[in-house]
Amino acid sequence: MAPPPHLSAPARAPTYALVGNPNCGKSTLFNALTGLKQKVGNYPGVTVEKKIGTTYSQHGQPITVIDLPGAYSLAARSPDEAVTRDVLLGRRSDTPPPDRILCIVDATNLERNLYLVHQILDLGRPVILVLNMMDLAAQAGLNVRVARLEKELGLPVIPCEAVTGKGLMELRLTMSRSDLPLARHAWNVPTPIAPAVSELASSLVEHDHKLPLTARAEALLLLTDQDSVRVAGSSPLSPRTTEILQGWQQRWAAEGTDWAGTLVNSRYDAIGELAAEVVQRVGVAGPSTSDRIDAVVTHPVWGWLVLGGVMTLLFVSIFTLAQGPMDWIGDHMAMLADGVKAQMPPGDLRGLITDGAIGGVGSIVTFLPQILILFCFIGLLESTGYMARAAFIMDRLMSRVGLNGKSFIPLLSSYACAIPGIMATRTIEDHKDRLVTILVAPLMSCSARLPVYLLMIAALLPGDLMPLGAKVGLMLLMYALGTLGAFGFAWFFKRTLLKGAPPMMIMELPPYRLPGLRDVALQMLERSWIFLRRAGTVILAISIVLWFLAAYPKAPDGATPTQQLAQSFAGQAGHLIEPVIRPLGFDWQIGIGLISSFAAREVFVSTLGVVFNAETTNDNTAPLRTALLAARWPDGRRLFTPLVCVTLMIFYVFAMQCMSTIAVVKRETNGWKWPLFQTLYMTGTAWILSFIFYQAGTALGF
Amino acid sequence: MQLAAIANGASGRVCALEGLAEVCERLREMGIGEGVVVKRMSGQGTLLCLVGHTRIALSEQAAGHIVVELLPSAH
Amino acid sequence: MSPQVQTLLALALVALAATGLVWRAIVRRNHPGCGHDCSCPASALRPPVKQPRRP
Repeated sequence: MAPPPHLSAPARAPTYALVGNPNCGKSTLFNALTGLKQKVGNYPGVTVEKKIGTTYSQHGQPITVIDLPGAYSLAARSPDEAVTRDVLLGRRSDTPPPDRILCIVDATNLERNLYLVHQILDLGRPVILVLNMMDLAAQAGLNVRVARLEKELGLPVIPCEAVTGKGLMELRLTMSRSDLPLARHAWNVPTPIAPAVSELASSLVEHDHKLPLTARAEALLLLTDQDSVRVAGSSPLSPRTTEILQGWQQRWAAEGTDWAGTLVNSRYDAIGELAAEVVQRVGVAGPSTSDRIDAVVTHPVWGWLVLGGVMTLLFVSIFTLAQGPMDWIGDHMAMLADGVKAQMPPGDLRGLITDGAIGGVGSIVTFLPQILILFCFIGLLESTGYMARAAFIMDRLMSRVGLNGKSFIPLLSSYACAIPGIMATRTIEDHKDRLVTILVAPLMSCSARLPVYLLMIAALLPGDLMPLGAKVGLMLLMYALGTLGAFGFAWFFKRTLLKGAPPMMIMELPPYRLPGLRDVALQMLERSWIFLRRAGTVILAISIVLWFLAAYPKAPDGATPTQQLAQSFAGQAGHLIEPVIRPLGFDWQIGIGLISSFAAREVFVSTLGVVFNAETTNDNTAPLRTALLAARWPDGRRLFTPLVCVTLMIFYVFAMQCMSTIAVVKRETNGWKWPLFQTLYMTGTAWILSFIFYQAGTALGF
Repeated sequence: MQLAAIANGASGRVCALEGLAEVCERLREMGIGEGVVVKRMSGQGTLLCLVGHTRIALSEQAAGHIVVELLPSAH
Repeated sequence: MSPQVQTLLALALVALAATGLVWRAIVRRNHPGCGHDCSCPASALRPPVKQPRRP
């Protein structure tokens, strides 16, 4: 058998895995090391982000760094931690096990952080220990004796401040070393379980073809894992090993001993001795800044006020700050279309460029500023540490509907987009809680609905007659409606379909930090690029196809634009579904928009752009809002009455109209059952509520 | 006594962890093991506790797994 | 540009766009990622190239 790559002299630069507890500054270090040289993808089968970056050694050779999800222990509780465990143990065929491991620990909290390090040292690979947040440790009155730690563990220890970049040079130097010592890992497995460990380890080597060094670590893990989280892409154990494992587990269950607890305690004992020698307390620090902030932010009364204030600020800034850039983009798009119209004679290509491409893409790109503000806010909430406080505040409320506070973070992220929201559910330990959170997350109004709401509010409250307050109020109402819906359905699902254990939350609250502006800026840059690329590719293509569907088959010469649209392919499809949406007050033209929304919600706006601009005959591109206000039913009634606008918004709050989300849910839940269920229940609710609202409104004379 | 029974601002030393095995293991891994001093900071129902230099939020059910002895306050 | 040429060019563009959308759907079916949308920036990682076994 060929020797494993990391034992033979590496011809290539070694691969590093970056491992650490959540909140220890791992991402900041990863960004600092790799800068823009990152690739973000997914581990096949799970929506856990796979981040790979390149850093350079002192001689300029590239070194690959894999950023693994944060974990407290190799005994995984969530899909996130399971990926970290599986990569380190070489259980994933899509990711070869790293040659070396970069362990990052929070110096202010050395003992807890060393627990994971202790497990990782079992793996028998070269480890570099990065002591992050040395400045905060000093502030807290802690003196960490680096040299002593280095000597005790027998591995390189680099003190570092990832935020300022201090210590990065030394870290790079160490990473470039071709010889890294293996840790002196003096830790004995408690005697009573030693025979089990050795039997299982030899079976792992023999039947599962594991390396002898990792086999011991894996055996320890298997024996103490209560309920091993398996994720797709992780290779299963051989039958023989499973048999041995079950044998030992049954024996211990019969004896009534809790070996898992004993093992954790014995690791902590070893770490406690080490920490007592390494960490010196210099004086007593008073309450830290974090403590003082927390006294207000986690207060039963003030906490709610702060949370309410933050949310209000978020939505108000979406309206006010974005207005200028939005108008600028909108004006320039209109100028561009008019420019094309002035240069080209009338014809199909001109129609395609102005009504299809510029109309469709332009109406989407206008919303870039707002989406950026939303992502910026969520990035800031995460990087300052406030997000975890929001989860803490919300825990009691969430437990009323059967979820725990951790579910609040995915739900809040879903305000930006349901996809990162659903990806954030990977930190939720309980399978049923996770599924419920996934099912309700798309009810939180995502940024793609924002263009629809804004357009409808603009059509509803035209001009500057209406105060800003009314617009913001209506918008907040839609967000509140979606949020209420999400909570209501969570409550319902937890009591019917997915009955489960009462919610349980054990969550670390990170210390407050000044936001890493560079990280937030990097993230916003990335988001705008994704957004623009999407607008320039998919949405452009959809707009062009839609233009075709609205322009063909051609009506006989002399037909009005309305007649042309009515007998086009899009018009026929719209007419086809009109009986279904007529009771909601929507006509076939809105129907075209609804159908196209199933590709992505924001396409509704561009579709209306295509549909209604087709009716403007002059050479000026009328703003979409004016076009909507001019739209009429055949009998001359206004189409976009205030009642219809609100009904349409309600429909968008609830309807599941996002292919990307459906695809992610399908993969997350390993099948079509849940995404189909989700689509049906959401869209069904949307129709029923819109029906009730519209019919009640009509009956009341609106 | 249970962790939930001590007042905000008071500290307790963990005597035992009782209840679901996987919850106990996770608590231990988060640093809440026997002999550790836990300070209850704030919260009703859901508790905010200080363990060493870490703030940990524990929901009512999770906190129910922790049995502590009350430590006399520093003042 | 005469209306006929415009129509031809426009139809060609429509065909191109439609092909692009169909191609995208097929690629996505073969390489199911996270949709490459909101939270899946950059290019999705292909499965890493298998390291050749060294003798």
